[in-house]
Amino acid sequence: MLDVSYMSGGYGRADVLENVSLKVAQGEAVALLGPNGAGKSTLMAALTATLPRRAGTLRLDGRDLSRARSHDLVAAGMALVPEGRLIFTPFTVRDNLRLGAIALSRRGRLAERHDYVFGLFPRLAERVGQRAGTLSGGEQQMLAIGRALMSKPRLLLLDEPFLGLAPMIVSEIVAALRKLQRDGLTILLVEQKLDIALTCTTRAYVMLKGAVALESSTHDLAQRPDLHDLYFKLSAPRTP
Amino acid sequence: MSDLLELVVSATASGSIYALVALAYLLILRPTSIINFAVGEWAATGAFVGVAAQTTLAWPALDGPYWLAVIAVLVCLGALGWLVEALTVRPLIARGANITSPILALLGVLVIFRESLTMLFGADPLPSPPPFGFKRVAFGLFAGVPQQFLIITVTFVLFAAVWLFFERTVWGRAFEAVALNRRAAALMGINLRRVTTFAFVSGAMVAGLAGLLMSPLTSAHYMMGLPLAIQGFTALVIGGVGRVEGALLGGLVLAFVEQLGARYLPIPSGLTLGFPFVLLILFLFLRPSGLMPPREAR
Ligand SMILES: Nc1ncnc2c1ncn2[C@@H]1O[C@H](COP(=O)(O)OP(=O)(O)OP(=O)(O)O)[C@@H](O)[C@H]1O
Ligand SMILES: [Mg+2]
Repeated sequence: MLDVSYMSGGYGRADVLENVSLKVAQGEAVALLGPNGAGKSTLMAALTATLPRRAGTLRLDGRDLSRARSHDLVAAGMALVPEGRLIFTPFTVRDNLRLGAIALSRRGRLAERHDYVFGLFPRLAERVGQRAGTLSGGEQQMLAIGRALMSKPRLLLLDEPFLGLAPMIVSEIVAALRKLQRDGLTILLVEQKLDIALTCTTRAYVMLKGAVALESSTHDLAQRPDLHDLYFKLSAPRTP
Repeated sequence: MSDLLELVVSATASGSIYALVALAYLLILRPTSIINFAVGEWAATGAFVGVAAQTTLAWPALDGPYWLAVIAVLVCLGALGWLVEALTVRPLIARGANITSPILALLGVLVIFRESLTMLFGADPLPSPPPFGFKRVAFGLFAGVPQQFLIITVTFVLFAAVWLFFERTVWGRAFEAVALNRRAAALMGINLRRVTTFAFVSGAMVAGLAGLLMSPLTSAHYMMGLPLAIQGFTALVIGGVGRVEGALLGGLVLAFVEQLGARYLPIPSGLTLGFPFVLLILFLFLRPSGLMPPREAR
């Protein structure tokens, strides 16, 4: 489904990402783990073509989209729930969702998308007329996810969607992600905490200092005594 | 009393012109963050295109009717707006330039437009034929020349249409979304380049329309652009750069202050030209968000 190879890039002159390669198969849920500043969000920006500078190849279902711009990627079936949500706070829930569907080609599918998102997050349905900025943190995250789903993506990227949320909301969103996966959506989830990643992904990449340091099944990774230790070992300079 | 009512008509008409220029700024500023001072020259260009379409100076047989002048202004200015965006703004944005670069490039465009107008049409003012003549008309208590009422009507209808576009259509919302957060808008699948193009095309059309509408009252003149650029910008600052209604309110406030001041304040008439600057400075210091702050600030 998603095939990224040798992706590099960054904001200024210096690269943040160095030859990142990863694959996500159709229907799979993959985690992207890594400590603060590893470059996970930068990779998400590179994948969605919102990073100022990048190199490497990106394929979606075999189609080469390395040079595609953000809106082409959305049209091709990729959607990102960005770090910090980036919902349009002065707009209503309804308008946020409508904008998420702007790339939807046929008008008729709009109602179907609304129903799907409201089925997933019934709380949004109760608040369609409310300004997005006045929603609770959990509701805002639901809106961010719902908005991304409005474009009917086949690949959903999520950048730390659980950050700062209460355990109950976390499990609510985890349940939603599981349902999405059952409905055939392919998922790439950026997360820092392994225990959360374990609940909704089967395979994981660990990123350190802008490069992929490790790839493993989430289950195997959980068997390791302490992931923070692992982060540390992998990022420490190798001694001869 | 009739003196005052006449002033109301005349100030509303001038205010409408300022409001249109402010709207031209706003259409470009909101989605791109670019302040395009060339809108004043675009208004002047609109005035000249209108005159040229109605009085083809060399061949009177080709003189066109007013509606043709309106279409000519919209088509020419739309094309010029598109061209300016494609040649100056787009290459700079593509190279990741700072936002000040396009603003400076557009100041260059301003000079190019002014010099081209002087070369093409000369330095003398060209009279612009008013579509409904000069005969004074009165609507109830309010009296003025027909052109003033035309200006007011067109402006209010246009503002209503633009307001509906922004508030009620998904593409209007998309424009606002780009203004709020470019990255989030791109992630929705909004084509940022297309929005930028549309902003410049529509901004140029509105500016050209302002020039065409005011030219029967002032003649088309190569120096008309700069005062309009300043008055429109002041109207924008007074109204608040956030919202369409603000541009209209700002234009009207500026025109009423100008005309009431000229009529009732004991100052030489030449100094009334300074009113926009005084208001501009007052608002920048005391209320930089304008009378109608953008939604996100409330
Ligand atoms: N807009 C930016 N301009 C310049 N440098 C940036 C920018 N955003 C991130 N960086 C740098 O890129 C590196 C990677 O940051 P990134 O946000 O991708 O990390 P992350 O893995 O997402 O971290 P976190 O888990 O804290 O979100 C950091 O060193 C950061 O300082
Ligand atoms: Mg991050």
